[in-house]
Amino acid sequence: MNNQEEWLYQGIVARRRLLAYLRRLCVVHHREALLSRICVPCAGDSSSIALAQTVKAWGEELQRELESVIRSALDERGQIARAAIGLLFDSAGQAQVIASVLEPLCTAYRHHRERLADERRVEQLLWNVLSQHFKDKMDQLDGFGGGPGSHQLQVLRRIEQLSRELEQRRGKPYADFAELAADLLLEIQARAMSNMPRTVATILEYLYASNARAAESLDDDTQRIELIAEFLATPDVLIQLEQCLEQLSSELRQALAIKFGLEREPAFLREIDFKNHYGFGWETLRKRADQARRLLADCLRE
Amino acid sequence: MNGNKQLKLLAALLAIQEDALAPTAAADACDEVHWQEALTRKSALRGNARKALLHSPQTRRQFYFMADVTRAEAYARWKQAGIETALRYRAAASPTVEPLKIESNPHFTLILFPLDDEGKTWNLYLKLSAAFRPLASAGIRLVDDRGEVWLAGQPDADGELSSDWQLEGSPLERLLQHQLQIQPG
Repeated sequence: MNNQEEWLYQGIVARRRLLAYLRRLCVVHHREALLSRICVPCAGDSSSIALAQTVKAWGEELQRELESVIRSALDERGQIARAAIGLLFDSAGQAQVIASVLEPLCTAYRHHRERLADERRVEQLLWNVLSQHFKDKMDQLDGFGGGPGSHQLQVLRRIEQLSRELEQRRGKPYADFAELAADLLLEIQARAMSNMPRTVATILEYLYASNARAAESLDDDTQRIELIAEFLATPDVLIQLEQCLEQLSSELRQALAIKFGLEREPAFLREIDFKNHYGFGWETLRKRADQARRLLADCLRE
Repeated sequence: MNGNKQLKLLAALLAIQEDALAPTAAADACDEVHWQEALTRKSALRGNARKALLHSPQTRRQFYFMADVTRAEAYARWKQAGIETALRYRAAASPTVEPLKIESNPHFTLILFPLDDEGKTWNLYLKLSAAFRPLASAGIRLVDDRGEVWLAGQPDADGELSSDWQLEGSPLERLLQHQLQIQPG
């Protein structure tokens, strides 16, 4: 564990700052997203499995937000977000502690719009259990309280270190994360490393958790064109796409063609030149392309 | 609109799709088994599975993850079998247009056939070794270090895969600037 990480998990002040950060994230900004789902369950959805799934989905939303902070902030904010993300992995643990206060929490939540006291109670109940959970996680990371030292964040650090070693050995970064995952697995096996993942699937999960570029490749369909071509773009789908395109006005079709480089169009570095050529500016292009995409997406859903 | 443009547009449309507009149940273990069979080309993707993928970003995310796992597993098998994936070629540019055979890797050979005298159109032919064939049956692709795919698909029973050159420029020029690598498909 390097000095910065010790500072985050072991320093008393740093722990408080991290907890305050998590409180803002979980209780101030995203509380409603959680409670509106767990306190108004659909019929037959009140099981602990449904709660666990909801908490997991909520935690993933938080992780995505933190990933975006990590991507955009290289300073202390990014460092805190990185430490926070490691504490959010255990969604099952979070669901368990929330389950222990679910009834009073939801009772207070149902009345919180009428009574301020209930709003405070909601915050208090939720944060009491979550903060204890996060503190326990931090203790585990530091090896305090009999922590096993095999926490996911520690595994993540070992994987990052091992990845750097492998890249140094091969003399260039991995362009393909699948190959990195395979090499990591073989290296873990060769060195008989304990407390490390034993399947490429688990290793890939860690790589996606620690690498924004890799995680983005799962969300950005434009990076998966080969899979789309092979498995999704059937003739039926492509015919439907053409039919939907024909329903668009010519100016919306033109905006799509320019925006996505679908036709051979001249490229302009200056907006004034673009405007002189097409008769409209970049903002109009953006709006028209967005409108066209929305209309097409709606048409394809039908 | 040609096929590539259609694909580009379809991908862009999928990328802005919202889960909230198209709620779908998360994929279960059965879906994943079915995906795995499709991804390893043991069976075709069923219509309802395709529909679920088309309409839910969350389901596609799981599918893309499974695709990466399948490829990583293939890499692991190749590496355990000692298969080197890079195809090294360094030669001076030749003024004559003639077939070029690259045999620097014991597990596969690449041959470039010119289809005209000017070297404007080419055919690519890849032949896998007998040892590599069973490990590559689920599909492979030949990629340069810019990430451009030269050839992709399932080799036939003789371990052969061929296609016309579809990228811009000449493959000979690219070979002088870029390295090639075989990847799981």
